[in-house]
Amino acid sequence: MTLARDAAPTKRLDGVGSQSLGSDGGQQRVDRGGATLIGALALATVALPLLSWAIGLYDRVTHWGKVVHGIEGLLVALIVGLLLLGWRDREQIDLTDELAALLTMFVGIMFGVAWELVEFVRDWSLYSDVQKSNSDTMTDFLWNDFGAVVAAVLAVRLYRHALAGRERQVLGDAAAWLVDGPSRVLDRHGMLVTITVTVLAAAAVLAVWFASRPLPGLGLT
Amino acid sequence: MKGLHIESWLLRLALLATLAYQLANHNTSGATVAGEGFVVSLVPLLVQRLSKVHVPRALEFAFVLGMALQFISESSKLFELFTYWDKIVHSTLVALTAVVGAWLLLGYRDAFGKRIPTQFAALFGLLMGMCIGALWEFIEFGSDYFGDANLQKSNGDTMTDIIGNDLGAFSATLLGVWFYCHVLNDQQRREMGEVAVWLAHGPRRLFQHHGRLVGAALAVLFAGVLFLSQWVDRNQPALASGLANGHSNHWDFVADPTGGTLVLAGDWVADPRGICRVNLEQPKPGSEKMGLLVLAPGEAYGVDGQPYSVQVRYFEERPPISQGTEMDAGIAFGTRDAQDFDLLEQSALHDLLRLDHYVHGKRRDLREKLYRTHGNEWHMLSVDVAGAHVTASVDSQAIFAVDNVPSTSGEIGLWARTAAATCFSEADVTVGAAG
Repeated sequence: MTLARDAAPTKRLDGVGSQSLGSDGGQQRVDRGGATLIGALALATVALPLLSWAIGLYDRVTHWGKVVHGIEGLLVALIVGLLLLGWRDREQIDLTDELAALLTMFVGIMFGVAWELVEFVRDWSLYSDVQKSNSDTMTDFLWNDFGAVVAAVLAVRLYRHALAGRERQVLGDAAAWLVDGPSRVLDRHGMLVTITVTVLAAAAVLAVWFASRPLPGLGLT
Repeated sequence: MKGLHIESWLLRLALLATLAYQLANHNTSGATVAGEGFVVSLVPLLVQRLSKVHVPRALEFAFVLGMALQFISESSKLFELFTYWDKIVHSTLVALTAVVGAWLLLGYRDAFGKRIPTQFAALFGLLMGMCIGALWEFIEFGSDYFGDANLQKSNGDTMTDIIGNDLGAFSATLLGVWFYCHVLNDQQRREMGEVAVWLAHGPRRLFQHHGRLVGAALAVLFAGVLFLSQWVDRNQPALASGLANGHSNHWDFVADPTGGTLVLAGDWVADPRGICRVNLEQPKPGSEKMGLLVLAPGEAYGVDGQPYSVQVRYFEERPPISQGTEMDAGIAFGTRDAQDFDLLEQSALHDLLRLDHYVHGKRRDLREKLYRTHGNEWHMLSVDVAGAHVTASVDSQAIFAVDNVPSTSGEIGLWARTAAATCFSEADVTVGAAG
C-alpha cells in the first residue's frame, strides 16, 4: 500500500497561491482579512502577558493570572485552528472539521503545558518563585484548556461561516508558508533532528534532575 | 493457533496470576483491581466481536500491555513501594496512547485512500498522547480535591509526570510510526483503519446530530464542577467558644512524651526519640492516614490576630522498602477539629515544604516550595503566624511567607503521615513573637 507521504499533496483548491491575490485594491483588502485577523490575534497573544506584567495587573487584580492563561489558550488555539483549516483546504487534506477541532484543542492544551513546563524548569533551576502550588498550576491548566476548547469551536465556526473563500486561501497560504520550512528540514534531516531533539531533551532532564544534587562519581554539586 | 495473539494472552495471564496471588494473601481490594484489569483487557475482543473487524495484533498488544501495567501496579501497590514507579507507568501509558492514536489515523488514511501526510498523523498521535497525559492530571486533581485521594503529592510530582509523559509520547510516536511504515503489512493497516472508523462512528454521529446539545451539556457540567468546588468547602467550623487564650509553652517529649497533649487522630506512642506517630493498624503502602496530636488542648492561639510562633524538632524514619515510602511531619495550627486546620508540612519523600488549609478533611494547598531534607535526620520546623500572614521555616531558614491564610486562630498541634514512624522530641510555642 502506498503511503500518503509518497504522494506528497501539492494540489490546491483552485490553483490560487499567494502570488495570485486580487489585483484591485478592494479585493486585496478582502484578501488580507484572514491575515489581518491572524496578525491581530498573534499580537494580542504576545502583548497580553507583557502588558499585564508592565502595568502590574498580576499583583493588582486577584486571579488576573488565570484570566491571562484562559485568554492565551484561546488566542493560540484560535490562531492554530484557523491556520489548520486553511492549510487543510489548500492542501486538500482529508481532515474532517471534528478532527481539526480536536487537533486545535490538543495544540491549545499543549501550549498551556509548555508554558507551565517553562515556569517549572525556571523555578527549579533558577530558584525563582513562579509556580506557587500544585493547585495554582492545575487551575492555570484548567483556564488555559477552557480557552482552548472554546477557541476550537470558535475557529471552526469562524472559518465556515464568517470567512470568505479568498480569506481562507490567504490563511492556507500563510499556514503553508509556516509549515514549509520545518517540513523540508524534517524531510531532509529527519534523523538528525530526531537525534538532536532527543539529546537536548535528555540533557535538559538530567540538568533539572541534578540541579543542586551531587553529580554521581564526581562528588560535585 | 494462527489467530491467537499469544503475547496479549500472556499479559492477561499475568493479570489472572496477580488476582490469584492477592486472593491467596486475603487482599480482596488488590484482587478486585486485578480482576477489573483482566475484564478491561478483554475490550479488544469485544470490539472485534461487535465490529466484525479483526483487531490487529499490534493494536491489541499495545492496549493490553497498557492495562496490564496499570492494573498490576495498582493491585500490587507498586506506586507506593517504588518511589518513581508512577513515572514509568504514566509515561508508558501515554506513549502507548500516542502510538495507538497515530496508528488509527494512518490506518484510516490507508484503508480509505485519504490524503493525510504521515508526519501529520504522527503529530496527531503525539499531541493526543501528550494531551491525554495532561488531562489525566485533572482526574487526579479532582480526586484529591473532592475525595482527598492524595494522588498529586506536589507540584513537582505533577510537572515531572507531564515531562515523563511528553518524553514517552515523543519517542513512542517515532518508533510507532516507523513500525507502522516498515513492519505492518497492508492487511494489518487496513484493519487498523476499519477499527478506527468503527470507534469514531458513534462519537462522530453524536457530534454531527447533537453537537450543540453535547456542547451545552459539557458547558453545564463544567459550570457545575466549578460550583461544586466552592460548595463542598461551605460551613467551615468557627472557633469553638470557651477556649482559653493560648500562652507560651515548651514540651520535652523525651522526658514527658504525652504531657499537655491530646490525640485528635491516629496512633501516637512514646519512644526514646520522643512522641511518635506510628501505624498500629498497619495500612497498605499508600493508605497511611494522617495523625494529629493537639498541644495545650483547650487553648486557642492567634485569637484577635495575636501573633504566635510554633517550633518543633522532628525525625522522619525511613521505612523499609516493603512498607511504603511516606515520610511527612508537620505543625497544625488554626485547628478547629480533626478535619479543619492549617498545616505546615515537610516531606522527606517529596523534598517539599508545603502550607495547606484542610477543610472537612480535604487538603487545599496554599503554597509549596521544593526544600530537600532526608529521612533518618533531625530537623527543626517552625511557623510564624501574624493574623493571616504566615512565615514557614526549616532549620531556622525562612523558606516562604504567605498572606491571606484562612482561619489561623485555634489550637495548635503535631501532625504526621508516615509509613514507619515520625517522631517529635520537643516543641515550643511563643505568643507575641511572630515575625
